[in-house]
Amino acid sequence: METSDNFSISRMLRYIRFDFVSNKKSYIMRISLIAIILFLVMLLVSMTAGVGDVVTHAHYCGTIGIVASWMLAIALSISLSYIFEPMKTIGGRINHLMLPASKAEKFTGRLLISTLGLFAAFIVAILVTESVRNVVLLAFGDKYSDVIGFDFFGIVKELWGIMFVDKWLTTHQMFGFSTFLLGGALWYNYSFVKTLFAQTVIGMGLLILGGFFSILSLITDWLDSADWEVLYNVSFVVAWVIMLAMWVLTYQLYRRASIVNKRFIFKQ
Amino acid sequence: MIEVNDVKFSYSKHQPPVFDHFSIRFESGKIYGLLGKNGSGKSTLLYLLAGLLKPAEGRVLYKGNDAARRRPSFLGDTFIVPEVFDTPDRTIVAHARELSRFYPHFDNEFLNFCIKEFEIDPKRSMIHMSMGQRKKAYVSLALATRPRLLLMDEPSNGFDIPSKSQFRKVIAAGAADDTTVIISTHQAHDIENLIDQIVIIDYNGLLINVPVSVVIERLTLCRQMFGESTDGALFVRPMLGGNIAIYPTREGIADSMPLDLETFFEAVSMNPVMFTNYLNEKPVENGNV
Repeated sequence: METSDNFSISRMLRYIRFDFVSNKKSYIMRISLIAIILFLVMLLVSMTAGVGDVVTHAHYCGTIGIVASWMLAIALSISLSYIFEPMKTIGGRINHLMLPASKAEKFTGRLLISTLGLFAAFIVAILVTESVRNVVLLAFGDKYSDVIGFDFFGIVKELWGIMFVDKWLTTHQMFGFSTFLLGGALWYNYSFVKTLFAQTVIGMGLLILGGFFSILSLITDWLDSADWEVLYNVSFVVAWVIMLAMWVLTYQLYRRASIVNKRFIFKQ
Repeated sequence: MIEVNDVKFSYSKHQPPVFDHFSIRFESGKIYGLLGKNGSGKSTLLYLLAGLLKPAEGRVLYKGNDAARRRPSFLGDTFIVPEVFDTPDRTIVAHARELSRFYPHFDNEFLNFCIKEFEIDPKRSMIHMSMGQRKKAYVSLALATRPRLLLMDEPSNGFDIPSKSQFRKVIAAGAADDTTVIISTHQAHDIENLIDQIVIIDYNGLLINVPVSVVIERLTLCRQMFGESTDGALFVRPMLGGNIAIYPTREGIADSMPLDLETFFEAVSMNPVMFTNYLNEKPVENGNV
């Protein structure tokens, strides 16, 4: 039995196992939902691949890669916003907070479940649905022969390329995920909807601020003399600093979590 | 073993504190009955002891460490049975298997004893059990972890009459010699023959913290007919056909009976200073005051 009071990887893994076993049915249902949606999209894309001039398996992989990346982004946002779902009731909070593992272990465990766990579930879903799709299409004979073929790595490569290769797109997505993570720590219930609402309000505020600067740049000529590359790099760094601050704030909120509901903006 | 040192706690800045410079010490190997009126802070005290709430001032120390930090070593020694609780969608045995990985002293043999005593269906998911059955399952798991600090908030709520007797039996069998058990309840009768020490708290303060043996030894409860003198009684309450009175124990009191916790609680709530002074003063020879 682990005796360290700070951080133990084995205890964190035990926590992940405990969470998975405790919520097995719920996780299986979620994975199934992802797989069903993915399968329907795959089937639809396969069957409409013949419409128009482009009828290639590469085209299919590209389309599925885009769809899967969107699905993964949405699923990841939902997953991160419900990162502290076990704490949404008083009983749940007691069970979670009183489980003998350190705060850092439980936090890291939950983060891994919500991110790597979801990635793993997604990969499994793609593997299964792609196999089933091929079997279903084979039943139609030669009609869809152009899009038949098991190219799991082709889809994953497309997905990875869309999500993680471009520096700006990745930063943009990471920023979005970080806001959902923070939303999950602020609100245990309906956190996805609440975070979306907060994002909309803040987005509108930033839009107004942007408009103000646009007018200012028209009146003065300060923007004409700006070095755009420097501006891009500065905004890139600022975005990552804000993201880091959001992660630290999320952990601090979790670390301070108690049995009582939080007040004011923290109110559930 | 666990001590509350000069704690101040409030749920909101706009509300009066539940505890203001409150201190108490709970010893190992004792079963405490925590009594108090609604809203007096019984549950809050249990949550503070469990580290589920952090005091604004003062500290709750378990073996010298701050309980609010909820370190794994503290959590491994502690179990709280709250009034409101969640159970997972699996059997008690399956849940115990996972829980046992976190509790160094987990006792499967004792869990089986509890399952048998409480007549819990080990093949039924806990989420599909009745409220009383779920509570029994939760209490069983709590005891099977062999905690050094066991906190229970209204544990007998939802129990039928046979279950209350089973509950007492299981607690008596499960509390180890070095375990501190603190049971908060309004159902004083349910823990009467179980506890070693009575703690009564009132709004913002400790009314009394006294061993049951001292109460039994030094106080006597009497039923009296109307018209009978109640001179010397520490507490008198009218009842059907007469009075019920608490006297300092002395020889020759007619119709005396063992003191029950509910009457004692009522009496202390009305005059805490007098009872505290009386029970804390050194006994006079022959038991007379």
